[in-house]
Amino acid sequence: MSEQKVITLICERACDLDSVCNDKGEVKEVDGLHVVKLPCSGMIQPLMIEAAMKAGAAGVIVTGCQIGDCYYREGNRMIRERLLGQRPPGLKKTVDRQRVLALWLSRPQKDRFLSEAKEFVAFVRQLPTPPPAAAKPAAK
Amino acid sequence: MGKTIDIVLVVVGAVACLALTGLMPWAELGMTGAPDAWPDWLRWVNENLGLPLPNYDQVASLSTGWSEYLKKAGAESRFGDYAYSLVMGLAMIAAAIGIAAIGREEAEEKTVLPVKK
Amino acid sequence: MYTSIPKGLTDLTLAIEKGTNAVISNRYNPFYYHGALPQFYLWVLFLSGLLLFAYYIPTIDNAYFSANLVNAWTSVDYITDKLPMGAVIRGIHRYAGDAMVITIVLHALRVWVTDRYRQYRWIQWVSGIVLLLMVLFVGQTGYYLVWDERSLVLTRMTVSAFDAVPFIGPGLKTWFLNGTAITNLTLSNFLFIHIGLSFTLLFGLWVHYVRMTRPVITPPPAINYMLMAILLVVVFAYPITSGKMADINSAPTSFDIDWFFLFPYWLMAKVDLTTYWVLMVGATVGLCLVPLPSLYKAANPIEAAEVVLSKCTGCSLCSKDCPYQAIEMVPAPAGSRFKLLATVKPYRCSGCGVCVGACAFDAIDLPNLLDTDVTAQIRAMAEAKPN
Repeated sequence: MSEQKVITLICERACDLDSVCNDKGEVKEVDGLHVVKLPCSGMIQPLMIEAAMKAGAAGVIVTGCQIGDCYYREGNRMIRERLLGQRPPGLKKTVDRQRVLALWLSRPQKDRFLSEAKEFVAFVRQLPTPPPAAAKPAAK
Repeated sequence: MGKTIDIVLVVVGAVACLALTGLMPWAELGMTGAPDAWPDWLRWVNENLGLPLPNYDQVASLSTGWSEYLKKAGAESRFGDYAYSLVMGLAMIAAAIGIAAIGREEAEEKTVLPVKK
Repeated sequence: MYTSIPKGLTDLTLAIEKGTNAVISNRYNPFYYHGALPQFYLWVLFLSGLLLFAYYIPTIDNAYFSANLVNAWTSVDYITDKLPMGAVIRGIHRYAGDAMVITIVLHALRVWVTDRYRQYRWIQWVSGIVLLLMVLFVGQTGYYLVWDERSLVLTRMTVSAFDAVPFIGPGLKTWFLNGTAITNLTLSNFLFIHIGLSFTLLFGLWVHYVRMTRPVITPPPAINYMLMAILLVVVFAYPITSGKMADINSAPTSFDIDWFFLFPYWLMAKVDLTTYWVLMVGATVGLCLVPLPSLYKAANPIEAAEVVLSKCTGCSLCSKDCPYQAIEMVPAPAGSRFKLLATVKPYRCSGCGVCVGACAFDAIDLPNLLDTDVTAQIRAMAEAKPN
């Protein structure tokens, strides 16, 4: 469904998307991609990702600085471990892991982000529509 | 172990590291492989237990070259110790290259979450 | 963000790091371990210094030029020329010192260029400047210990520099010489300063690290091998030699300069002592003031995270995850359902929000960016229909 959105949760110091975003946070070059900026990727709560999915987003891209270069030292490692289930709090089991992508990119890597994001948006849009949140997870 | 270049780097690094390590006894003995430079116990093992000792004739030119360099640079004695340092340093560089070639494949710019079945 | 630094410099640094990442990946990028590199060389210095200490003799006697003369210079000569691997250990020690100064300066530069020294990070910066000064002085005493002609010149220059300090000058001079003239006591004082101040570095490093959770002080082994290998190769390429033995009755005037440690002496030789002290103290104070808040009109003031006490369950996740030791768990008041509650030390808070991400109970917030607002924004974006 081409209206499905993909939300990017990005930190202020990861790849610089200011030049490709409009005021509403839409990325011009990738249809359906929206950007929400946070001071650090470590601030991302897994329930933010769950909220995005419940509201109808096709996928979520978590973007932080390069691993080892978080401006606040550890934020990207924190969210990475939370997503992988190595650190509480984690993602609920009902979240489709295929619809979550994490990128760790430095400020000059805008092009890398755009190419990964384009691929991801195309991929999640062709996945079968997620069942409503109340239902059991679909078998693979 | 994925990309070809990484496999090549690992092999080259390993081979170089081993070859340079093989030079360490030569360096420690004063950049010579002459039997009378070897310590007594090693000579005993060679003579009585038949352990073959490596022949370092091919690197004799290194011995003269490096000794000349060290003398010009101001060192006065124990040139073999300096040679040991150089050889060990180069071996460590080779090892580091090999290790980094494998390790860099695990580094992440992109994390895809594993899907539980 | 980076507004206080010339944009070109930041762009250049980021471009270099991007290139390095492309070749060896972020896992082995030495720029991402810039603080750990000097720490590694400190361990090398301790180990090699310990080995040298076993054979070093801190005396200056040279009244008897006999074959049995034993003093600092002859002990160093023995280490270099007779002791197996002595020259190599001496070389490692000397070059690890130079490497430490280089890596410290690169570390400080990167910290400055990537804007990681202000506000809640000021203690790290100031302690870093103090540590650099200590390292420089430790290295200088190392040069005195060899007790060749260079050491004599350096010692005399240092004595006259101390003597020129107002009020405490003569006291400093007596302390430095361990008396009123250069004697054996002086050299053992140098050794004490060299070793004692090196261990004091560890205390300084504690201050440097204390406001960081899980400080990165160990590079991966591959980087350690490279760091060590660089020293070993340089030891071969540039063997260390001593100058002539110092004779207290002589007056040598020149010496080979090691720019990493001895640049203050170059300055001392160029300008008069008052100017020298003004410049050195001024530079130190100036460097320590780099994080001064009034320098940054554009800086965003940090609004520290706040705990919602009614929701906090004392799970400690925010406290464990905080990168700057800004959250402390305190005993909950009597009658509370939970044993611990989180409290934020606002002057340590960076405003990063890692604690917000860690909290499953919505019990901690950044006042200027509530997570409920962020979630609402996400929902609105996910639902928005294209027009």
